Amino acid sequence: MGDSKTITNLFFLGRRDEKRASTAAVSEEARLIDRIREGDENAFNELYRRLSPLVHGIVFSRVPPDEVEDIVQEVFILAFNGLHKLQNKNAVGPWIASIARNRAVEYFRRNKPTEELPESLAQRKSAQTEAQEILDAIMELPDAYKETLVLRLVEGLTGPEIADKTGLTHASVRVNLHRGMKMLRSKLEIKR
Amino acid sequence: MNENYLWDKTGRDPEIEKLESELAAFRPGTTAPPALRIDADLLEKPTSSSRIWIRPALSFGIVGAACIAAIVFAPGIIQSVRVNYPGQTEKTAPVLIAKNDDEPKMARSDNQGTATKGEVTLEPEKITRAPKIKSSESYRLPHKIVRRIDRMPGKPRRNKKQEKLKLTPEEKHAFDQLMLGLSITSANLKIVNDKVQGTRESRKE
Repeated sequence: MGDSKTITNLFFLGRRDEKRASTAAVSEEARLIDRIREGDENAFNELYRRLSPLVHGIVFSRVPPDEVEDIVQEVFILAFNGLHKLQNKNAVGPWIASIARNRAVEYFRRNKPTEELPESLAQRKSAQTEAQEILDAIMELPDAYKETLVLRLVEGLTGPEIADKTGLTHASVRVNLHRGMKMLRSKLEIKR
Repeated sequence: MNENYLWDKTGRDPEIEKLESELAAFRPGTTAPPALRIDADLLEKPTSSSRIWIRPALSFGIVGAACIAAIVFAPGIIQSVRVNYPGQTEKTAPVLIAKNDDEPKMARSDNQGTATKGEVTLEPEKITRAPKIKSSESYRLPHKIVRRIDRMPGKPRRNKKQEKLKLTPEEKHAFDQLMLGLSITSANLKIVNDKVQGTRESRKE
């Protein structure tokens, strides 16, 4: 309970600075959108650099690791072609995040998962690293916690960055991180 | 667990740091993301800013065309309405010409008012002013016109009661609404025209 009180106090104290920083980041992305619409290729590369961790994390939390790179590329191609449909330039992060999630869902609709043979399963288990064990535990979590933890622990984004790019509130991201980490810890303890 | 470190990486938490170091193996690149390779044939043609203006321009054009059509047909509608309600100037008054066997045909009056055998004319100078249509919606043709129409060959004599042209309240309301709509349409067309002229001038600059 002490932890939740600390979280609440920190949340209200740090809110103003977070909002200023997030507003500046969002404005920069809006400027990049304007430049892209004028035909500036460098602006699109800059946007790709800024948002690829977000897209990679979202796709990584949903599809097999072998398919992640291809799907990330597809998401950015779809985003580039659909930029004229973007109405709110300040919400490009949440917009591209929704494209990534939809593309991941479409991947599973097209490619139904196949059953593994027992031999391959045994081989996989023997070569399983600790990293894979942690990743498997994360993948068993609910989607909201899974995505937030992947963005935090795999992609290295901070909580405020996750909130800015996904469009979630800071409070939601804090809750997802806190509860997701709690569930992950209990799963890892059970496995060990 | 250090919540601050989990939130924005302030402070330290060995447990979370260990998780981060293990899971960093799944990160795409340590420094920069892989270069985005987009083949030209995968891309649609770049959308120019002009596409953003297609929809408003299209709607603008449709509204303008509707206004132009209303203005073009408005005089004809007004003219046909005025024909039923004489009271025009002498130069524009239509002349009803009827021969023995033919139906009456409309023709322009040269203000001479001559009538030959078999012809029936509406002498413009006889038509003084348009009759006032009261709320009682009954309208009578001027006396002289009634007589002349009665003299048309082949046309049965009408009773005085039949000569009254009654407008129901709905018809009168519809007529008033039509005239109001035409006036509004002409005003809108003027606004559209002014805007188009203003846009052209700004483009030329």
